[in-house]
Amino acid sequence: MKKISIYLLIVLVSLGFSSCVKLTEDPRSNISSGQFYNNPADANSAVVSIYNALSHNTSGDHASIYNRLFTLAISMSTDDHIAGPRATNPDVRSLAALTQSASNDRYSQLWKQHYDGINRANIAIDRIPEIQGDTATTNRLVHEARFLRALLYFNLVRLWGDVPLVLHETTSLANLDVARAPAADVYTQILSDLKDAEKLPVKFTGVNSFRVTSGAAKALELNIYVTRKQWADAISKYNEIKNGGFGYDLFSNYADVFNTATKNGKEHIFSVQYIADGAGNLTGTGNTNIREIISAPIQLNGADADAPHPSLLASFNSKDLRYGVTFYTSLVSPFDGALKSFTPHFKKYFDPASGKNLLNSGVNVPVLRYVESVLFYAEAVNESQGAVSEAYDAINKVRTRAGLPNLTAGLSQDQFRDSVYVERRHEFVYEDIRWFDLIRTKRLVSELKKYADKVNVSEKNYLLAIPQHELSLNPKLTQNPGWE
Amino acid sequence: MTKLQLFWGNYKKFPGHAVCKIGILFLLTLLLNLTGYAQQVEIRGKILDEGSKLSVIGATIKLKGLPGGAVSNVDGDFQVNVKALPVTLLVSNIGYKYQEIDVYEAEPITIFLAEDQNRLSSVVVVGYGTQKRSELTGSVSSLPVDKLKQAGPSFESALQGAISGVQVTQTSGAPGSGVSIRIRGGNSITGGNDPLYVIDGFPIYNNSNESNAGALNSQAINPLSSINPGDIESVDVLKDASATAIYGSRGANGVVIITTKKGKAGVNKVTYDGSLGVQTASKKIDLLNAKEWATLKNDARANSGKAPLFSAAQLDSLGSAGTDWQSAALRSATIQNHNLSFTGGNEKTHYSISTGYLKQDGILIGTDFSRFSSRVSLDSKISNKFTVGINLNGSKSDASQASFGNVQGVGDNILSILYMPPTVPIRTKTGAYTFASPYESAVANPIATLNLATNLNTNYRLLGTIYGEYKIIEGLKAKVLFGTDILANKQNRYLPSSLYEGASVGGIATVGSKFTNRWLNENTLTYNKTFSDVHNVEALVGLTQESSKSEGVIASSQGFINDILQYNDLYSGSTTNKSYSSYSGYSLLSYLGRVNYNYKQTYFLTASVRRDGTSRLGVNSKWGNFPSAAIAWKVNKESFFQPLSETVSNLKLRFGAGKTGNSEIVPYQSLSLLSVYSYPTGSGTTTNAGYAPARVANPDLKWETTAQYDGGIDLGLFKDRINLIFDAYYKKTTDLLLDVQLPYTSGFASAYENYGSVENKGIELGLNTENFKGKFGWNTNVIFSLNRNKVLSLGNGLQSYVVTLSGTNTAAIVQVGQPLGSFYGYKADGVFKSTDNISTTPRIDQTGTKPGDVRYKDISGPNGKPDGIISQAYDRALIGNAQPKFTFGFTNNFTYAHFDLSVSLSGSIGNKIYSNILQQLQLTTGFQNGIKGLTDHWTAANENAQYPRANENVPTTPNSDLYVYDGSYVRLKNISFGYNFPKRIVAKLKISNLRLYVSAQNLKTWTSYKGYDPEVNYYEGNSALQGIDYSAYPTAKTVTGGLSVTF
Repeated sequence: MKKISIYLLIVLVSLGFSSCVKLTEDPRSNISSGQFYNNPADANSAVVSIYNALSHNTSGDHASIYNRLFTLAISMSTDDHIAGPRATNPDVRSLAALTQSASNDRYSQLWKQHYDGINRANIAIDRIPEIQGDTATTNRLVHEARFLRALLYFNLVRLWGDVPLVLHETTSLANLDVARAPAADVYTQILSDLKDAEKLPVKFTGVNSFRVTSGAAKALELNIYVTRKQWADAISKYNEIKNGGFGYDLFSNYADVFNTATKNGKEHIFSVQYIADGAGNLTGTGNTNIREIISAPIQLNGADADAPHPSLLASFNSKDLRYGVTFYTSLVSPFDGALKSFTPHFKKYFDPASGKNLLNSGVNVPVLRYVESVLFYAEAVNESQGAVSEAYDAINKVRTRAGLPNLTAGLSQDQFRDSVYVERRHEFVYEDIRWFDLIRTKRLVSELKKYADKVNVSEKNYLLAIPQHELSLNPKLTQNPGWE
Repeated sequence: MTKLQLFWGNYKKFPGHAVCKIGILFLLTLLLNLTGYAQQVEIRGKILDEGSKLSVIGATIKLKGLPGGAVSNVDGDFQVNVKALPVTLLVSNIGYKYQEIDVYEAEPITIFLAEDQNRLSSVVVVGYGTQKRSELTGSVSSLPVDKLKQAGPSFESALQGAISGVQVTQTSGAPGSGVSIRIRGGNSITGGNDPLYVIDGFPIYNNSNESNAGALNSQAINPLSSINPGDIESVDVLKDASATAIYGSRGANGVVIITTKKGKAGVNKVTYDGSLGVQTASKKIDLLNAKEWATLKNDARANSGKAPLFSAAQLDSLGSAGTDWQSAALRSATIQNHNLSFTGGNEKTHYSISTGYLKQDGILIGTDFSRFSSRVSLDSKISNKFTVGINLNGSKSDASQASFGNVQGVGDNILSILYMPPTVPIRTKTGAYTFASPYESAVANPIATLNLATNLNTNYRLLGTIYGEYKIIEGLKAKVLFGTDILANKQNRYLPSSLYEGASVGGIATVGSKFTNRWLNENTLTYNKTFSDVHNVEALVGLTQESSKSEGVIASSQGFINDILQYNDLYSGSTTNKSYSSYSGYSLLSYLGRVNYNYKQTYFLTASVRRDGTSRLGVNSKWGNFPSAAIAWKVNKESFFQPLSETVSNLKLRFGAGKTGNSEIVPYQSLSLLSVYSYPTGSGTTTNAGYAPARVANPDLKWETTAQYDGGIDLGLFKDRINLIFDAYYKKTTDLLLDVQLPYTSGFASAYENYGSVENKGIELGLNTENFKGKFGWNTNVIFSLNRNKVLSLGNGLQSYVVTLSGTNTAAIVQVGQPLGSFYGYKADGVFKSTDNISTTPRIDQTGTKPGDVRYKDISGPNGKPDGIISQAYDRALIGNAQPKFTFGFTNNFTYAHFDLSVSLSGSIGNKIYSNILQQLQLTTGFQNGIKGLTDHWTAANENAQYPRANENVPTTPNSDLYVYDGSYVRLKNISFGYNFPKRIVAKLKISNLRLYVSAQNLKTWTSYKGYDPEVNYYEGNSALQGIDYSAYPTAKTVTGGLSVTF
């Protein structure tokens, strides 16, 4: 007995005092950076993650840039939107009333999600060229990444003016404070990225139809030229888009723009993609377009949070076919089969196939539509040459589809300009373009002051507040005027 | 009964019994030999336990002033021989009070030993060993045994008000839910703050993620609820660094050592303990009735330019009727608890076998918790030098839970019960459940959800240790221990399509499981020796290693044609949702050493060190050292103190200092890991997998370190009838494992870095007095704890940050110079009167403000002075904090003959509550129900109303001091009254002890707080979000009756 015990003890002790645990981390259910970026498939995944930054939120708490965050952060402050009865977030309601401060979380989120996407683009641009293999594919992927980086910086520079220009991947916690770069430098970088992106293919189909094309690069450049009032550049870029063999045109039916059967069609130059895979999530982490449920009325068990401003509804011509595509006032409830009537609510992202599950909309969100290029062209021609026939032809093409008569002939340059603005307002409801239009045309204050609920607008609103979060963490940043 | 008797009968045939008897005989022979040559008077006697009347084995009997003595045998009998009478017997035994008995006649005597409540002479379990309480240098508190008996379903609640320096807060009244325990304040902002639990030597950090596969919308089940309190022998709490440093990197939050019951030699006992009780909600929140709510609704609509929804006739017909949703959802619920145990053994082998069953219905319909547990503890001395032992705890617990948090876009059951307007019926005229509130706030029918939704949470746990101990030479022991802790969690959820939550998806079923396996190996050498009769040394060295891995899986589908299959066949769903699998693991390797030295039991010194290596931290800083030292001086042992020794029976001064760590963060935070960021392809419903880093690597991530200093006094007066323990401490935690915010331009929101520091300082006092002893006994226990917490720095130059959740500012701020749990918001300043000039008064809503709206104070502006505008950036201020000024416990135990009565109060004074729920219930929108009295809202005719005007256009109110409440309370935590049947009566039934008792928990709470319960902790472990009340499962008061019988 005793001997056995001793042997047992010796075995146990020698077993015990030899360590058998390893202290290296083994995260099995995650890939670590060091294991990745080795082949063209990894490169593709790196680029897909940039697209994801446009459509999916990253933190699990918020709407994503094109899945409602733009609506909350900027459109809510325009004369197109009010905060609906179920929009109870104080930050959102303050944006609707233009009483927001620099600590408004929607501003922080918009800023954050743009830089999240930019970092992912920087990773792709830094790392993909080092990947061995199919260089045609890897080069193309880099061009896509550069387009997406340009798009994100174009949003940033329009909204905030001078912004930190980060062009390489963040790999350590050192030197994270970056000062604001002059807007001109940001634009130079954007145009350089887009020049590269023009090398992209003319068209993608099938499982690649989500990707950006050289047409998208040109359409974005057109937007930049119009924004910066480079009218001649705008006109020539429009001609490249129209005549470059892209096959862009307007759908004959306005409703097809928001129809899931015609997604990525001839009018869609670049859209953010959604699918009705049944796994939607109100926080925007799913693949569905959450704005269907967000804009649906209480009567349909909707979240009733994004609602149209009375002035927007009143501004429509009764013959305008776009009104019925943009808004709805009744629907047979899929829950109890009864016809429900309600005040006008946004319908653009309503997917009839979603049935009871309003979180299951597969309607894409257009970022660049050909119709906008046409209207930009009309605007650029009018600005450079006055209301000449090319301008009329362009705007009338849009009006005709909307079921409206041709624009009154013989308008002055100013009158024509205003007509383009009205057309743009009606064409792009709930597409988060209104705010950009109001700031680039310097009409933000004058337009909003017309309405009692928007009178808090002031000159400072031409630029958003640099998020307080960033200012407190990065001493190199300065606040925009009026927001200090 | 017959079966039990059989067992008792069979026991006598145990071979061990014979062995044991031979041993005793040998001992007696030895004693006889020693004393046999003298002229003798024989004193015979029996030693019994005063409470249980069972024989006490192994008690030491000495003779005052004379040589010789005896040890009581297996039947409690002893015999000593003296030269002459009278003589004074000195009787002592560990765990019992010391007694002196004068013997004048040579007649058999019976000596009753009382359990030592003060346990000064008793043994406390410390890290990797035990120590006599009188030899402690650190701050260690033991849970009084009677408190443990009052524990209820989970032992942690017994700590409340029972141990100084330990703050216990219930997070929810739901059966099986957890409590938050803070020992001497919270050290960490983002790391864990819960103490380390050591169960039979197995260190366990109570991580509720391990009992939560993630498939439910429910609160996580507390993993410690798998431990049956009936199986626990003792709970010891290590508070200061000198006691906890032996646990190194996990010692910073204190250590709770749990020892389960062990068998004792000679005493074979069969005990049944059973109780049956009824629980009722201790409080309902007073809400509006149907007419009051409809009136509010009309008023709100009127102020928003809308026609009334209810006509005058309709209002009248509503009356006070309508649905009382709280009454419909709450019930009186039963709780029953049964424990059966067999303990005993002989000189060499001790056993304890027990099994228990708990069934607790929740006071909220559709909720319950049950637990089946079994336990074996066995140790055997297989040779003079070698002992082996095993402890095995197995349990299964099942919980049916209420929905919690956001469920498919609507609030949870508790919120729905409170928000649902009283005009909504539970069922429609057809008898079907009302679907949802028809009004603006999205509220699902909570009664339908509680009855029809399935939220099942099952946990299996097997916790076991096996050890061998070898005495190499006298005083030197080697011990090897292996342990395993296996947790299996299974969750099943089904939301039928008839519910609001399940309607949009046609019913949704989700199942999840998580399997966690941890193993432990400890190898220690202890050396114990007294040199020259005065130098007592005990030394310990050891190596321990531990590894844990956890694997989880979740699957879900939706779109069911009916509700028959529930969650049992996901394949039947028309849409299969994404499935998930996960892995997480860590390992820990440690070297430890400790020396206890004392000189003549007067001067004490303890020094310990632990070196820990963990997988969790950065590659450059895996290892850390955690030293400690403490000294104590037992003044009453000094010769100069002798004149006072009649009065002062114990006086000890202690001082200790040490360094402990904390690394309780989710694993892998130091690495740059990629996350999946998928994106649709644009063709069909296919997607592409994208990958990008979710974190930036921090190879320098290291421990959070807490330096603690503790000074204490132990004082015993009048032969320890008054005992006082006083401690003062200071703790400073540096290199906080902070999820540091990064500039968003980096592409990342945050990274774990070591930044900032927090301090806690405080005093604690425990006072135990024995006011009466004898037939009428009365003792009193008072504990008092005071802790002051302060954030010293946040690093990165950051002075403060408002805690945000889901994109919304909470009312909590973390600010340098302030305690954690500080509230932040506007300061209200009454409401605008009709006569006020609103356009010149600072206000939040520049255009919509009207008389009757809340006024807020214009605190500051961009130039540092009031700017005439109420803005988030400049007009929010500190509006209170959740830290109590002090907490206390007050317990009185009375005994009279066979009756006993115990009354315990506990309380927390000076803490504030930020009540999100009362904020919601004070909305005057008429979108949802509100608190009673909300009809007294401002109108031009009622300018002094309690609440602002009714208004649909303010669907939310900003966080302000209007919703900060005093959270002070005093609670009658427990009253129990028991009767022990006299032994002469029960002996006829072959029962050695029979006790009947009734007890009541949470019978009464004195507080001014209007929510369900002043003990609030909605965001459980988040120390930056303490004291916030939102959707809390109501607390129950419980009355139980039970019996305990020992054969």
